Amino acid sequence: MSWAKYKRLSSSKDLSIFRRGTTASDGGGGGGGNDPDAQAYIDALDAAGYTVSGAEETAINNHFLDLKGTGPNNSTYDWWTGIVRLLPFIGTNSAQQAIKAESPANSTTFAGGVTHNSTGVEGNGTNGYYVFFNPSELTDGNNWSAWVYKRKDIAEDRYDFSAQSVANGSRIRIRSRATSDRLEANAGNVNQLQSPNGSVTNGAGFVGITKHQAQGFDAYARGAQYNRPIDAYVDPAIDVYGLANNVPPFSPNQYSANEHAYALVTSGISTTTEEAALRATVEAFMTALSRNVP
Amino acid sequence: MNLTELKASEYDKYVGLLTPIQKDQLVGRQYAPNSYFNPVLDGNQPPNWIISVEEMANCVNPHYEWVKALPIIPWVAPAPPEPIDSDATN
Repeated sequence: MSWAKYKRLSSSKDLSIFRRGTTASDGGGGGGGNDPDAQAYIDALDAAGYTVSGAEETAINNHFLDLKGTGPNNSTYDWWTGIVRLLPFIGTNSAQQAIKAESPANSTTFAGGVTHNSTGVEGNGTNGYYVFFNPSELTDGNNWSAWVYKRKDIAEDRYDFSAQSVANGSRIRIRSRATSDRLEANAGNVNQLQSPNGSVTNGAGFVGITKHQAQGFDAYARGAQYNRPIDAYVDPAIDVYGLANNVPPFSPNQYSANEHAYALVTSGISTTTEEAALRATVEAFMTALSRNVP
Repeated sequence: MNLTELKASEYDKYVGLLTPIQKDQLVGRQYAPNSYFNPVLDGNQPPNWIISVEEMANCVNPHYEWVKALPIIPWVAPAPPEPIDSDATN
């Protein structure tokens, strides 16, 4: 029974004997059930018709606690205060996977051919994508980061997520295994960061871009850091798409056939140590959901 | 060939062929909750408007059930866009 169902049932009779997950050691928040934001997301999944398993409930609760710096995998950093988007893509249909976990009353949208697997949302490489976030949601253009967890190790010259403004030239985007096995990224700037050819030989795992100061930004692929030391942030003022490149007024292009198991936008990650902590936190979440990749 | 003859493993090799009028009918419309049709041009000359087999197979919007009967054609990818990056650094 999911905690959401338990709560509904317990309003009419005492089912406390079935209660679980109430201490840190058994996966709960300690002292009174799940983290309230985690519970709100679980309730939203339940309302959308998805039965959250006990393992998923524990994984979700632990991950919310980890993002807040009070979980079993992270007790140092607070990535919740600056959170903009959290898409765990839990569920098996579009309504369930669209739920924005950080604000479960709201949903994102998908377009074209995407498949809603139990392990995430998969693009078809033809016309499928999802709306990741809009830069207007960032409270500080010099303090934000965007990440995805990719399940397929494929070399494709397609974007993991991307917005490309024709109006002002600014781009927010990354393709972590592009031509010649290199990473290419922008973080609200026109000029592109490229890692050396041959530097990225696995297209799966945790990748992203982080802007934590006025000039330049860092990009990461599976823990390897690449840096561009110059360029100020310019808001591209268009949606950032996951699994495609958004380039209005033209049609989106460069659709990816990868599968995203997780997507996150939060405050800037300023050191390799902090990135390693965030990556370990997400890896733990993916492992708990049986979505982790080698 | 029609949708029912396709295996899921073949979805990425085929697409559903649209007329320009059908394309206009689908733009901005949902085929499932939170999921919008995305007609695109393929790489044929002249190009065809198409939607993916996933959109056809997963359509639960009763107003657009007709997409399940669209003609199936092989997917021909359009040419990749020209690179327009102005600078690069390692």
